Amino acid sequence: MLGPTPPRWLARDARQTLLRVEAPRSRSRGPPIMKCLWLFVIVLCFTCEAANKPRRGRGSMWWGIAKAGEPNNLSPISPGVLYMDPAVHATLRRKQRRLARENPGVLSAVAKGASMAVAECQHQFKYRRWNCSTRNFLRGKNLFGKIVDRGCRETAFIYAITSAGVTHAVARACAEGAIESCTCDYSHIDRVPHRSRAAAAANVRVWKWGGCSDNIGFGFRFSREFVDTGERGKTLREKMNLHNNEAGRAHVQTEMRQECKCHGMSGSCTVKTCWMRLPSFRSVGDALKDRFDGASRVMTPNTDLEAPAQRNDAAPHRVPRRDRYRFQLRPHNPDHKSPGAKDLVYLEPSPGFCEKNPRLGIPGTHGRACNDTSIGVDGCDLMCCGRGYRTETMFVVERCNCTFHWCCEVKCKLCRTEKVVHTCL
Amino acid sequence: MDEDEEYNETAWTYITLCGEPTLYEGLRFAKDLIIANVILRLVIQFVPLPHNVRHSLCLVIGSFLLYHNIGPPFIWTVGLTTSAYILIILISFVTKKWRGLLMSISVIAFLLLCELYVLNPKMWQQIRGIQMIAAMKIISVAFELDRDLFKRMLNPVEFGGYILCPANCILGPWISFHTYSQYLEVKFLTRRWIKLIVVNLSISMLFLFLSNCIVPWYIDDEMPKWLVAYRDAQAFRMSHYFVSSMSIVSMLSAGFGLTNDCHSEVHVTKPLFIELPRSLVQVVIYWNIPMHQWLKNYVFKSCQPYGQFTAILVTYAVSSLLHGLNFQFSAVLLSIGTFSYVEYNLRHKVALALEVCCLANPCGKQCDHKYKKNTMLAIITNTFFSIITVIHLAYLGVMFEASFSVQESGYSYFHTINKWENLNYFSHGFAAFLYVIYLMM
Repeated sequence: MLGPTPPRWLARDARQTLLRVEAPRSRSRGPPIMKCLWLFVIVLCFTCEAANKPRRGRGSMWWGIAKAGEPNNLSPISPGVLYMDPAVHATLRRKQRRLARENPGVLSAVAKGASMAVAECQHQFKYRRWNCSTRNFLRGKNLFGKIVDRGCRETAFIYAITSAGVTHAVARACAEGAIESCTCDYSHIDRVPHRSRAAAAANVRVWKWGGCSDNIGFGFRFSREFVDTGERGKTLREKMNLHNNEAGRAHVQTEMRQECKCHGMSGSCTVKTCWMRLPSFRSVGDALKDRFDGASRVMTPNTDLEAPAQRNDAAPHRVPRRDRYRFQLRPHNPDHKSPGAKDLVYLEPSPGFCEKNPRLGIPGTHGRACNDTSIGVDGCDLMCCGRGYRTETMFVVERCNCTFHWCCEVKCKLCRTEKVVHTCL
Repeated sequence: MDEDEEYNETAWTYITLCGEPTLYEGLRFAKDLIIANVILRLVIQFVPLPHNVRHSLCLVIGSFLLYHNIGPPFIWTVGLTTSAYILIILISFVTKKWRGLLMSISVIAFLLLCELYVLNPKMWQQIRGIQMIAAMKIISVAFELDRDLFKRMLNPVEFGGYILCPANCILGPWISFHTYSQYLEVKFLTRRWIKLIVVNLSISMLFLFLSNCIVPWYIDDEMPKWLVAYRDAQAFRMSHYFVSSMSIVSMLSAGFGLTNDCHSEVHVTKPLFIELPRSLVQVVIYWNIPMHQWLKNYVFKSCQPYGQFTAILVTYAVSSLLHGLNFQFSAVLLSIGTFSYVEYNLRHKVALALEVCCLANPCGKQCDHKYKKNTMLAIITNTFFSIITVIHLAYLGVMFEASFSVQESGYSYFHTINKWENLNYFSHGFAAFLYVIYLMM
């Protein structure tokens, strides 16, 4: 079941060829024809994938948007409006494009969230064998490479961090007023906050809080719509993706802090003002990295779940959208407890990241920098997988003696320092 | 370069995320206050009403406003008002001389019992300020009855209207019954009136924004602990300025505290005199001017026959008990008392010794010191004492910075001690050191 199936790869290659052939042609033609062609290509893609039942979630191509901000992909002619290179746009599914069209301004937030997620992933895995490297997605490949084809821990983290990135960035853009369709929904202010039950129990009048604090709700809902497109939650892999996407969002939501302050005569609490504070994305990344280390392996549920899923693929009726989040994954080891809403789940053990493996898109740890004194994963022993390492001495020019000038400037000197660099063979 | 941009961006995001809901909530609170008070003023202004009906109008609108703001616990304020009135009547049958004292004791006892046995801490924190204002008004009425300042006994409507008047039942400031009664007359209102309300509302919103968003942000947590203490104390002071200017807004919108040519005559606090203080004595005076007057008028003056020291001690005890049975307030108030006592005496001696104008209170016109206030020596000594005061203020105000759950349900003994321990009890030690110098001079 988990082994590679030849027809799928063939079909994928065929799709890539198609993309490559179509892309230049579409640029030279008028928009209506282009649209038709793209529609055709996308429908073709869907049919290819649906027919061959890929294990990889299909809604993940949008990650390519993270690179939209880079030169060549973003048109400089219209600042403010994010004009996507057609190739970037093509990575979006039809529903995602509709969402982007209906919510002007959201696309740049999604792009920001995705690149934030990539940067955070690379920060969290800087000193590990798998360092969350990305590759050029333009050739129709996945941004993170073929590793996402496997349902391993790394994939789980990628899904969670990207989903969290979108939630965070959209919520923030919403608060800053960058998304037109996300207005401060003042009509719901009098809705009781979460603490209401505890407060009511204490027989205290529930304080209402207002302001534009519901942005996280928009971010959360938008992320569900946008990120989870295509993950219908029928196969186990799709369930895994959905679970991890939800976990990423849950981390953003629960790390969000409500800050309040009392005002009144001599420190009493007559007037209470509250506001929500989004967590820094670093803290979300840290929390997800913790969950990565303690991720739970889940297993294929009983076959009775697989069978209808196959039938439903062609059937017209779909799983209601809300129901697709209602599932419970079983732990691989029956003695472990079932994964919670914030836990990351994976299906299969991670491949070794030591050696280059083109089939899985693993570059290997050759040439990676390592720390010769550390005994952890960043140490040369583990990082280089026992192959040994090369030590070089080089001079680097870097900023040093930085001082903070009030307010708000950091001035640094340039120092030339000698550095010993160890790189894996 | 990238880091700088990132820094600015997150700061701006933080400010917008904090500022918008803060201002929104502040204005929402102000809206109810202003609407209730403007209705009161407009009815008084345009409907000719007999005296008692005006008071009852005050009573009704005030009760509505209270209920709208704090919900069911408003029954405690109404209860306090009613029982206090009944008690005054009853005591009047027995004695005509000790009503002030007896009422003070019973009102404070009522507040303490409420705090200890009846109300949960959160609810108490919520209504404490309101109860305090009501208690001050009741005690002032009782003392004025003793001093024969009323032609006859107040009727219930007058009394209730005074205590529950929407203009000052929530945030204060305290005003005497006679001022209140005078303010209820028809006023000459011009466009200036609206301008005054808007200006004061903007000032209060500015202080709210500073207190919630700017002050906690502009000094980072990693800075030296005294800077952090200064910041926390300043955030608390800003919150006090917000409450004070909001109370002016509520007074003005009811048309209270206006002179005949439509200028504001209510002064609650003077932020400039507290942020750049001359002395701790001045801070105590300008922190809450009406409260200061109340303490001086009804507590200090009543106790003066029994000696200066007793009077000071009783004043301190009453102001502390009015805040409830709380270690933090007692400790802070007692510290302020001792610090300002040491400061007052030390400055007196220094002024005599150096013949320089550096008393705790600025010299009046008849300054008989050799070095007047604009001489170099005077400026240097006064700056020195100002800096000491700023340090004292940071040390005392840091108490009121706490996690929200603490703010909401009251400060504990350990909270207070922890905060001071963190600063090594510096101000206490320093005050003791100054006292030793004073004794040696």
